[in-house]
Amino acid sequence: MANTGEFIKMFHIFFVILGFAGMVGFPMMMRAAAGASGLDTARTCLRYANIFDGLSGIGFLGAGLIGLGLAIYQEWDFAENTWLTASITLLVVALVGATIVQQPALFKLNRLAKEAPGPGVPPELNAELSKPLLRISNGILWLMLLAIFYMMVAKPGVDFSGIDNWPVNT
Amino acid sequence: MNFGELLKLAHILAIIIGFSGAIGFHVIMPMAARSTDLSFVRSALKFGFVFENLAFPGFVIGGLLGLWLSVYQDWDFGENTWLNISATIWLVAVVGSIAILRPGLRKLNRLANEAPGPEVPPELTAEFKKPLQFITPNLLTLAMLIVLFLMVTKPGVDFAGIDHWPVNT
Repeated sequence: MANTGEFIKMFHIFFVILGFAGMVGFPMMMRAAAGASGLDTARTCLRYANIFDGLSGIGFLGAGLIGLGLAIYQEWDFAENTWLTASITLLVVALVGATIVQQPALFKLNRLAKEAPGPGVPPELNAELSKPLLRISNGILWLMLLAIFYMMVAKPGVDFSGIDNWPVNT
Repeated sequence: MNFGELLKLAHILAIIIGFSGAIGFHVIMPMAARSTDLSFVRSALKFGFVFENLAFPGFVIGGLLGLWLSVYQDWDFGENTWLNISATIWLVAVVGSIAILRPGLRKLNRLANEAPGPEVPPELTAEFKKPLQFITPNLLTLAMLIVLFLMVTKPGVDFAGIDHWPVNT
């Protein structure tokens, strides 16, 4: 049966999956909102975008905290395990970056959509939706998270991190 | 990084894409089922299809890469019960998705497209409420979560855990 460490790892991976689900859904909804012809559709897409944004925030924050808990529980040495230190640093930068850049832009979009009289998408909202800021910040976040993902799976600089053998209990 | 690790990386990435689609699907579809606005239901179903088209290939490719990895690594399916059970559940889920989930989604989409609007027609509401439409995606996701558990914990296998990551010295 799985031990405590494995259960923590399980939760860590589960939150990572939630985070990536949000990261996949968010740009899709933003693209759909930018292409919407009616205000109702744009509002709906932004509502979904908020949900996916929340999902990625909760997912990666949870994954980071649980991962940190796992590292402490397993007594992994942060100084020796560079992959771990680099991953945590990147995650903190990604979360802070998302909070500073992505959140205000999304709040502004939601406010504009809420205040618009409809039924058409107002030019200010259209202009805001076509700004490249969210696309660029999302792309950078993706790169950071994929780099963390690579380090978590490959654990560069660590022996026995591979998958060469799974000895079976006999 | 050797070829086995590269396969593992691609395997996990594909599975993450699969779960991303599945979670997106679970976010969108309940909202579509509750809505009374046909245009909303139509756009939600369109997104449902997009997410399903992420989930299905993600899980299929992830599973195939996993099989390739296990063959490449010479893992014994007879001895590694976790692998055997996972492969079986994965196969059942793939077949279930093709046989039940996709036709159900196509039917919902057809009903939504044929409806005159602006209200959601009763047949579409009834179709959303059918137990099969509700249970199938949940069961498929549950099946993949069981596989995820087996993949992470590898019950019955020594050294599958995470007790130590010896550092190069």
